[in-house]
Order: sequence, then C-alpha cells, then structure tokens
Amino acid sequence: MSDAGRLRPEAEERTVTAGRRPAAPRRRPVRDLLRQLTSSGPGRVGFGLLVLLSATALVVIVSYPRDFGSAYWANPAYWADNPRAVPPVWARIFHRDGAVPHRVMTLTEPTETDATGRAVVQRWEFPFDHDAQMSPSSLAITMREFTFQTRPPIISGTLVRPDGGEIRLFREVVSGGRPGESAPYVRHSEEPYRVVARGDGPAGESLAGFYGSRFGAELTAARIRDDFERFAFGRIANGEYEPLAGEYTVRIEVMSSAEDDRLEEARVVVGGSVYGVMGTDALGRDLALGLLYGLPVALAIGLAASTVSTFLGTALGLLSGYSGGRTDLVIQRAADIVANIPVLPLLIFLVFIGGSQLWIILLVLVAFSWPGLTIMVRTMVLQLRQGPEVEAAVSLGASKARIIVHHVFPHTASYIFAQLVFFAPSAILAEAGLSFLGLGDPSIPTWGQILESGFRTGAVFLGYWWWVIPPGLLIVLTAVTFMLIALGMESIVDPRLKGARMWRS
Amino acid sequence: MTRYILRRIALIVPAAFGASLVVFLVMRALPGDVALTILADTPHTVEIREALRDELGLNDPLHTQYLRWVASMGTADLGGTSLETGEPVGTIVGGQLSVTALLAAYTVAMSLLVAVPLGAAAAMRRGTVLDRTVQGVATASLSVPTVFASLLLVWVLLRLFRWSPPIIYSSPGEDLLEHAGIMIWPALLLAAAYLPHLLRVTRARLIDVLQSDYADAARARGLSEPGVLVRHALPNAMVALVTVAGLQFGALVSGALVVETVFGLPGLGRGIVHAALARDYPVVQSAAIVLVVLVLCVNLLVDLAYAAVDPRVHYGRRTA
Repeated sequence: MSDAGRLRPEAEERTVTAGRRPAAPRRRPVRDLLRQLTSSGPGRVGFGLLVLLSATALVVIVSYPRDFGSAYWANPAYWADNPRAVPPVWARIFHRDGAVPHRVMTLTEPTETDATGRAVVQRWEFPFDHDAQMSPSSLAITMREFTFQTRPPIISGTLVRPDGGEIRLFREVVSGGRPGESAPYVRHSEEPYRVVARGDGPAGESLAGFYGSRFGAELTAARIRDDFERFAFGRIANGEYEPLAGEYTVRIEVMSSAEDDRLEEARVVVGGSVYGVMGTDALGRDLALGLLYGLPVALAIGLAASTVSTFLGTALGLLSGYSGGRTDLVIQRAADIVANIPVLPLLIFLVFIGGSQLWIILLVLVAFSWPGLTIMVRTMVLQLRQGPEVEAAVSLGASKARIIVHHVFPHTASYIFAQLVFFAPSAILAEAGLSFLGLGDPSIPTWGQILESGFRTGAVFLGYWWWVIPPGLLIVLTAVTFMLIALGMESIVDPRLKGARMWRS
Repeated sequence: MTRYILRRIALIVPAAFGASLVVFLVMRALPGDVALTILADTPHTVEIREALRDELGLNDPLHTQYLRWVASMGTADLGGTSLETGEPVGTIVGGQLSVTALLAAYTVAMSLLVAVPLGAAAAMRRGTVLDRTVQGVATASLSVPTVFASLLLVWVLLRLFRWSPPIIYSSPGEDLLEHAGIMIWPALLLAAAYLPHLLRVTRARLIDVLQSDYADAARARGLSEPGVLVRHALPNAMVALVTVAGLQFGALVSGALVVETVFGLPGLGRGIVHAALARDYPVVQSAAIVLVVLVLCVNLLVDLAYAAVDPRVHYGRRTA
C-alpha cells in the first residue's frame, strides 16, 4: 500500500534534466522496446520463446475445430476406442517387455464377397502382428451404416489366432424393418454398431470353450472376465500360461439376403499399452491434443487479463495523479482496499455462483489486479506534473486531457508496457490454480484442468507421470517466457539498475 | 499512536463491509439462482424450490437479507448453518481457520529466516556467482505454479521416502512432532512462492542503503561492514520488507488453498473448495469473507509494524 521510497528523487531530477524539448523527434516506443529487450540475454531468449509459443498457438487456432472443448474434449464417446491412462509411445524405451502399439484398422470395402451360397457373405478381414509379451488392453469392433433391402443381415466377428484357433467374439442380427418403414432400410448410420470383446459375454464363453478343447484347461468365469485379452492373446504350454506371438486376424462376416445389401465401414481397434505422443488420460483422451489446445488458451488468458488490467490501472493512475483532490483520494482508498482482498477465495465464490466461465474468471482477475499499477503510475505522474514540460504545456494553454495524453502518459509508457508483461504469468498461474481446485471452465480445456483431472484420478500415486509433468512444464515454460521478457525489461521498470535509460524518449 | 491505530482500524471496516457487500450482491446479481444451484443435482418441484428459498430467506427484501447476514456474522453461527452437515458455520470455519493461520505463520517465519540472510549475502556480494544464483533461483521459483510444485513434491516424497500426506491432521496440541511432520512440506512449498518477493526487496533495499551517504559515514567512523549492515542497513530495509510481506500475503493465502487441497489439510482453503463443490452456499459465503478479513487484519498488523520499524512515520497524519 505504501508508495513511499519506490522512485528515488534522483530519478526525478533526471526526468527534469533529460526532459524533452517541445519539438521532439517522433517516438517509436515499440521499436525502442524491442531493441531494449533483445539487447539482454534473458530478453532475447524470452522473446524467441514467445514467438515460438505464439506461432504454435496460431497453428492450433487454425487447425482445431471451434467447439473442440465441448464437442470433443468433454465428450467421452469420442475417445471410447482409445486405451485409458497409458503412457506415450516413446515411453516404450523404459519397458523391457515391449509395449503393445495402439492399432486402429479401418476398411470401407469387404476383403472378399462370397455369393455362391444361398446367402451373400461379405468378409472383412483385419490381420495384425502381435509379438509383445504384454497383451493388448482391449479389442473393439465398430461397424457403421448397414443398408438392406428385405431381411436384416446377420453379423458375426471372430478372432483368428496364429495357432489356428478361432474365438467367436459376437453374433448378432441387425434390427429389422419396422411397420410403416420401407426399403431400403438403413441402420446404425448415426450411432455405429459397436462391440467390445469382453470376458463376460459370448466372447468369454467361446474363449473358455477353446481353452477347454485345445489345451484341456479349465478357465473359471472370473479369470476369463478379468483377463480376457491375456488369454485371447496367449496359450497354455507345459501347464503354464504364456503369451502367443504371431499374426492374428479379426474377421467380420456379414450375411445378407440380397447382393446390394451393404456395410459402409468397419473398424477394429486393438488397444495398445502406449498411445500417441503424450499418452492418454483415464477417459482415453489424447493428452497431446489437450496440451496443444491449452497453449492458445493460456496465452489468451495471460494477454487478455494483463492488457485490460494494465489499461485500467494506467487510466486510474493517470486520473488519480493528475486530478488530485477528491478523485485522487477516492481512487487511492479504493486501491488500498482492493489490493488487500485475496483473489482466489473470491474467485471460488464467484465461480460457485456464476458457473465456471472463463470470462467471469478473467473479469475477476482484472478487477483485482489494477491497484499496484495505479499506485505506481500515480507516483510517476505526481513527479512529472511538477516538471518543466507540463509547466510549459500549461502555460501554452493546453487542456488537461491533452497534457495527460501528450505530456504525461508518454513518459510512463515503457514502464506500463513492462508491467503488462509482469501481469501475464500471474494471470496464467491464477487460472491454473483455480482449474486445479476443480473450478475451471469445463468447455475450455486448460493445463490446470489436465493437472486437476490427473490429481483427482490419483495420477501421482499411480505413477502416471505423463499426465502430470507435461502440463506442469508447459505452465512453467509459458510463465518463464514472460518472466524472461520482464527480466529483459527490468532496466525499464527499475531505472536504478541501468542509469537514466528509462526516461529516454 | 492510538489515533493512528484507530485510523487504520477504521480503514479496515469499509474494506470488510465492501467485501461483504460485493459477496452479497454478486450472489444475487450474477446469473444463476442460489436455490437452483443447490438443487441442481436433485430432481425437485417448484414448491420445493420455493420452500428452500423461504428457508434461506431469499424471498425477503435485499437489505433485510444483507443486514440479517451481517448481524449473524457476529454470532457463533457466522452467517448461518451448513446445508451439508447442519453445523453452525462458525464451528466449521473456526476449526479450519486455525489450520490455515498456522500454515501461513510457519510460511512467513520460514521465509523471513531464509530471505533476510540470503538477501543480505546477495546484496553484500553483489554481482558474484552467489548473487546471481540466489536471484536466478528466486526468479525461477516464481514461475513454477504451486499446483505443479506440490504435485511434484508429493511424488518425490512418495517415491523416495514412501511418505504420503496423512489422512488425519494432528493439531500442535495433540502431537507436536506429527503436526510438524504434516505441516513442514506444505509450508516449504508456500515459502518457495512467497520467499522470492521478500528476497528481492531485501536485496534491492540493502544495495540501495549500502551505497547511501550515511552508510559511508558509518564506515568512515570505523564501523565494520557487518556492523554497517546490522546497525544501519537492515533496520532501513525492514520497512520495505514488511510492506512487501504484507502485500504478498493475499497471494500466500491463495496458494494455501491449492496446497491444502493437495496435502489434504483441513484448512479454510480446502473447506471453501469442498463447500463450493458441495453447493453449501452459507459456508462458501462466510468462508470467503473470513479469508478476506484475515488478509485485511494481517495488513493492519503490517501497517502497525511498519509504523513501529520506521521512526519517520507520523502516527497522527499520514501523507499519501
């Protein structure tokens, strides 16, 4: 609250002596700032990082769908085929057993069509190699859009093992025509037909039967249920379980009564034990997509909050310092009060009432971050007001507004710009904190929210490092970028560090 | 002096009232009905909602509601009873406040103990490797969000020492050693975010003072460099240090919310978040005010300390 002793009297004298002559050359504040910034090591690194981050953010903005948050990120169905909470692909180097890659195989035409019998049989075959010690985490089959003329097709799925064994995964009849409906009938075009092979369904029974006849092994229902994939991709040798490597095939058969009945698309997903560049979370969401999306959001939060609060703080500071009197008193008391109120509890409270919306969060951050700047700008204005430049302007009959805009503000501009950079990381960190407390905007994924969902799922205790470390490091990187730029500008903010350069115009 | 203290206390009153009014009005002005918020997860009829509104007094005129709330802040109820447990808010918040206050006190004490000597060392050996390291570490630790740092710390503690935050909190009265074991990590984390501010200001002020004329005068009188530091520079730097310590206290409390959540401390921060997620609105409302008043009181103390350490402050008339 105290503004005493921040600016030394020497600085003021310098202002006076280095004050501009009335007909000054044109200022180029942006170019000056850039030059100042890139003249120091930290400033250069920070500026480079900022350019890099901004470029990445631009790519993300252009390439992501507008409703990524609500339509994709917050929609579990979209990620249903992904393995849950698995590390990134490159984490394979840490595992001796070898990891199972995540495979998605899609066909839009059957591999072969057999029309010799009474029924037309379309075969869709998905061969894949499996040679890891671990077994896949899931086996899911998705079929989209059946079209049939008279009788509904019968569909079945089989896992063909390298040892010739065949496990029947499912056998179903597509729902037939309803009264009042006429051919061609279309089924599962909006919501695809999806089967996940599980031990407690027909696939489990088939697998148990296979183990009984081939290996003479009795598998209990519980073991099949818990370890379906392990047994489906393994065998019994010398009385012991062992993984079975080789070429597996998932075969889908569609038996229909007419030749032009068809299935548009079939997809087989063999769930891996690793996924993508950044792994997945407990819902199977691709963390790489979420982390990338968080970048423009973080930059936007930082820039929006800092720009608005800098503008507000500067305006109030100029007004307070130049007007004096009652206006000054009111603004200063308000600044004292606002500066004393801790933001996070109030934010929690407002989010509780108004709902988690990013604009409310930003509004509150802005509403509580202006006082520091206001106090500083006022102090500078008080000193400038007594300087010869303002005196000259007053004697020439310049209006109050003109003096503030043309003769006071320009001297504070570079300080204010530096302050803008200071605000950005604190806004980003504040949003991260709030999101972490479970009060972030659910329609806009941020790094804080990814950290939060990791923490809630117990990622720390379960050792899911890929879920915690990347978002944390990204927050740090963004904050460090702004910090480095701020460091590069330190001589602007604190003129004592580098002589009188601050006042150069 | 008395007059000055009274004036400072007088300044707190409008701040507290302002905050309470903001909290109160925002509750009513923002989109979203409190009764609807509370009932959001349960199926209900319009009658049930109206009955709840009556029970909460939401159908009374605004000023009646506000006065009733403010009046009950003075009692043990502290603004009502919890919708979740039925306990008076005062009982809940009181217990939580002591945890948060202790945590904050440990953090401030730890930060001062580290920041002052380190800041002094950096100032006296300005530009050396020591100075640069201290400054670099301080700046770096400001960029690491408390959220991330606390998760990492829990992870490291778990991996290296097989230690995880205990589920049950022990107050210093119950088991001092256990209490220390629980509080030290959260306090360390908070100090990592709080300390750099103190360190920076200590260093900057000391550099300033050590170059001043009167420091030279003291040297000329034959005082040793440590003597100058202890007798002249440090007391001078205390003024700025205390100011910054107070200014950053709000941020410290905000950080405490996060750390309490990670370490499972039953403090005010975790309490308010829990209440917010449980839609326990009387608790949220009062806990927010209690936190605000806590910070205001600390700032009052800081201002009084400021007056005490700086002989130049005039108690009667303070020029802005």
